[in-house]
Amino acid sequence: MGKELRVKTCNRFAVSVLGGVIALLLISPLAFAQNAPRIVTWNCSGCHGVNGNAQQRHYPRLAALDASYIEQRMAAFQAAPTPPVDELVYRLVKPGAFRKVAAGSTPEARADMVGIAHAATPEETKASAAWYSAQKPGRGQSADSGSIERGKGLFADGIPDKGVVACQTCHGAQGEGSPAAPRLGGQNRSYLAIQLWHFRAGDRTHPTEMTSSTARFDSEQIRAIAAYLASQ
Amino acid sequence: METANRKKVVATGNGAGGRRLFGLALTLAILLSAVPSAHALPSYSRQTGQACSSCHVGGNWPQLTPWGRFFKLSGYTAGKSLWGGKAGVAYVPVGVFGQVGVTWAAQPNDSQGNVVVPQNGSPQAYEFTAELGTKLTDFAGIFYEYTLGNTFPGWKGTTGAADVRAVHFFHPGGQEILVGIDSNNNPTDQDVWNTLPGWGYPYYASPQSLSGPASPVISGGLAGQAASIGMYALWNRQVYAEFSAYHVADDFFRWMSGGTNFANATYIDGFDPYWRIYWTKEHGSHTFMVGTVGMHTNIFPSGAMPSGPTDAFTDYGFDAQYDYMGGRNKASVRVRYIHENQSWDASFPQGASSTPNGNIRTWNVNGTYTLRDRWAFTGGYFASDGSSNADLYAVTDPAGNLLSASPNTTGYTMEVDRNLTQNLKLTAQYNGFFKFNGLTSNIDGLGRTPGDNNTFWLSMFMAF
Repeated sequence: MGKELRVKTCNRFAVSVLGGVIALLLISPLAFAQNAPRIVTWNCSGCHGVNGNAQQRHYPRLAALDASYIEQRMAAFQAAPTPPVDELVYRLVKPGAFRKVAAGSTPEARADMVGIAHAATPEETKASAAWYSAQKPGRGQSADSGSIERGKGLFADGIPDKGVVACQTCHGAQGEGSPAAPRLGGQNRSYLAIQLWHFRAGDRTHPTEMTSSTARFDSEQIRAIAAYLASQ
Repeated sequence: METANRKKVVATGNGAGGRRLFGLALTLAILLSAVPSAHALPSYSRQTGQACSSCHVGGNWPQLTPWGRFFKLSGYTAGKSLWGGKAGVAYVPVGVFGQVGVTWAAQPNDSQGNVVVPQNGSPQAYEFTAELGTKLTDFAGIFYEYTLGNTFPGWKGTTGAADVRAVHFFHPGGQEILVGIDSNNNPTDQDVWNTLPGWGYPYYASPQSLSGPASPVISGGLAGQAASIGMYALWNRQVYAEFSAYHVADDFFRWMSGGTNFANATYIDGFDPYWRIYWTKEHGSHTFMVGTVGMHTNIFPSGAMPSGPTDAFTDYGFDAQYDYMGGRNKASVRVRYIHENQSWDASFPQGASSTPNGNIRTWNVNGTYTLRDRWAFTGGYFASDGSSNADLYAVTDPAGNLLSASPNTTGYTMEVDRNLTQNLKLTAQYNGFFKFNGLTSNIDGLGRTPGDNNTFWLSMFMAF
């Protein structure tokens, strides 16, 4: 194929591609209007799923969570300092600034959520919270029956002799949530366990009730509670 | 482009570039091709505000997490808009890399004292790279690298990985179809899995290390020399199909082939098709993928005279990947098989190939365990075999007697990576061979063994 012909072919191809892009742009608003908010599809769903039932166990399921709770969590992420890309520079040159970032949220939140939450507008935050709140929760996850039973007991009764109040007091008898506390039933097991560990360690400090309660749980009890709630 | 694949560009026996290079000493031809690597892009981290570990397993690039795969498929569009800041540009859409290291070979010289592995045991700077990686609009993004690489001796600037794509979602009848248009400069670089050659293991290798004499065209043989226009679709995030056409990366595509001298390049004729289909499923923290890939290329025997008859290569392959994404500990297993049929329609009549037809088959199996997003342990096995070709793969003894005309090579790679911070990664890698050039002993006619080509590499990688 001669050079001139190649250039012409190439240019025709480029024009075709440009036409294709324009066509996609023209028809795309119709597609978006019928479905999840744009931010859910493009930014949230990669981890949390379009329907809010995150497959990966270390990400939280957002389906059926109270919208105000989701907005509250987003506000906390948005209030935290954005993690620095140049971690090494901060550690060497501005260690104080890096410590400030590190103290603002859990390691998982700093890695995955804080930055992306900063990119969301208030309208997008509201829209995504409303969308996920309206989604149907997924099926519970299986675990060994012993863990589930132990977790159920801890959730229902707390640990009276250690002064730990029952979880269901705030989170509902089946972990369905209440105006005071988020839904936990059907939540991903790893996510729950990690959050309880963070509460216990003080990495996640809000609300204060959680920090004091989890301080008296051992790791096996945390795993049991997480297994029970995930199974709901 | 990953180092290993770029090395194969010159190591391959395909096309004119490969044949010319195989007129040179076998291993030196492989050695002296210091080439750019592909990286995680700090600018994407600036765009999304996320850590490297959000998109790359344990921060150990270029392995992608499920979210990293989605970020790429959706056109690098998550996060801030480049132009959305109150003061103009919302973030800096560029980053820089540097890589240094030192390589030790089991036997850096042959039995007569000739250098096989240069700068053995000597610390080297390998590359300095500038990248542009950003969301361009709400539906399009770009990944572009330009590298100044050590060519032992000297330095050369070349375009590294280049990928630009535009994407939209459609929802017919309650289904979701992601449709994208993509253009890139290396077949399989557009893929999101770490099975195919573009982002497959080994992700990085010492430019001083050795690899076998042949690999399929699709395994990096067109990197930085061809460019594509293609379209892909992902149905319900489970079934992916793509069709692309590759053209020599000149004229309209010259920005994707910086530093390439087409007179010495693998020069393809017209538009050559590439296809890819895979199925994937997430089940809890487990992700499965099986897929197939293929490409047909027509290559001129000489890039200096891109006209007349061409050699034809048809590649097809199968791959599978399993990921376990636990909270902080993760594991992946990857498998790839590629078969290439070769028709030396131009080279055989010219006497540049000893057979009119041939084939190459390659297998790669590897796995990684990532510990607490800091450590990564990887082991892999590789093998290639194919038809003998005395014009492409000949090894002779000093008397001129043919020892082998086979490309068959097998070996293994073991690696430990440690991310000190997001910006700094240390790598220790051992590359070993069981068979080299079809031989398990006397691979150069001077008594060298495959194990003498083994290398140990320490490397430090910086990204800002």
